[in-house]
Amino acid sequence: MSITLISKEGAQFLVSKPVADRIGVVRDCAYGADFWLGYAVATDDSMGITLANVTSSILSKILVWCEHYKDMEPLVDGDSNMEFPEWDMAYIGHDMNQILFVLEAADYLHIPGLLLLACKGIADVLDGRNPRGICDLLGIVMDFSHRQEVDMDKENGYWRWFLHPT
Amino acid sequence: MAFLNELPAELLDIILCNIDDPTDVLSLAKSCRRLYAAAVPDHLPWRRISACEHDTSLFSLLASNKHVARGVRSMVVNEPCEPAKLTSTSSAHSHSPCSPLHLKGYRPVIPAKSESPADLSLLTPLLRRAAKNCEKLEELRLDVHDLEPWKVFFTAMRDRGEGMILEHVEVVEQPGRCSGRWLTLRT
Repeated sequence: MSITLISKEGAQFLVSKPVADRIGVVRDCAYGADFWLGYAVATDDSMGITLANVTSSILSKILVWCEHYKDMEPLVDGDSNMEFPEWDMAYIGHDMNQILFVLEAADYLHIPGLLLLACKGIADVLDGRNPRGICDLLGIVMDFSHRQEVDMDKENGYWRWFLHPT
Repeated sequence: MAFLNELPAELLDIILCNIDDPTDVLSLAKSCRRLYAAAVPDHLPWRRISACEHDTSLFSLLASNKHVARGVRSMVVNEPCEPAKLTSTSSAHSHSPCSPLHLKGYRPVIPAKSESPADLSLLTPLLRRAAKNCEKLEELRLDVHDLEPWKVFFTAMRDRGEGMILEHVEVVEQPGRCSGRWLTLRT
């Protein structure tokens, strides 16, 4: 059985059941009713499921991940020492804007494994940047003056005293 | 356009959990108010800690270093599980004799050495000074059998001039904990 997913722009993506199973809302939409009503809602393949908040480019990117994980379990929450496989890190990349869209979509579509990967990707992009660099990256204006910044360092930089007590 | 600082709090939390270096967490906090509110209270080390009662090196650090102690807002202290209990449960959870509880939102402080537990009598003078230094402590949860050494801590906190602190002590019984006693103090 295959399912048609329709992006925000109206583009259709035909995916197989194991791939669609990775997407929580699609799974619930297509088969969830099966459990309660005794039959599946999406009996007619041609109907398709509209994912109104997800653009075609992001949906196709997400489907690459779903295709990769159709037969194996992705990493999920609960292990603080988790290490993502190389494939995952190469997949998520370093494009902050794209990762943010993937994160939003993974949240909306209920894909916990991809959501965690996107969070990890964002954390890696932010790694080692100073506040100004972060603002430039995110396209936001810094809320704090230099003086406030110095105060925040004083207030919150206490772990440095632990690392280098003087 | 998707903005990082407009994400829901629970997603920001997951992102912040993935940032290891505290300097990077603080850089993020300094970039805007929303990220400051998400990062500083919960994601800087030593804000919310979970520690073991016998970790005298931690308490002597808190007693001697005001800068570290001032950062602590919330502290969970547990005693080591008894060896007898450990063997009866699964061997998969092979704690060292001294290991802090792993609670969501708290950074566990692993004791430097997991040898025989230190003498509790050593703890008393340390706790008195630690309480004076932990100026900003808002919450203390104790999961210990012997509250005697901790009385000093409460007294010292009251002596700081915040006499109301003891009025908010509530004792909550929690079955399944090591001691069955889970004492929470909120200021």
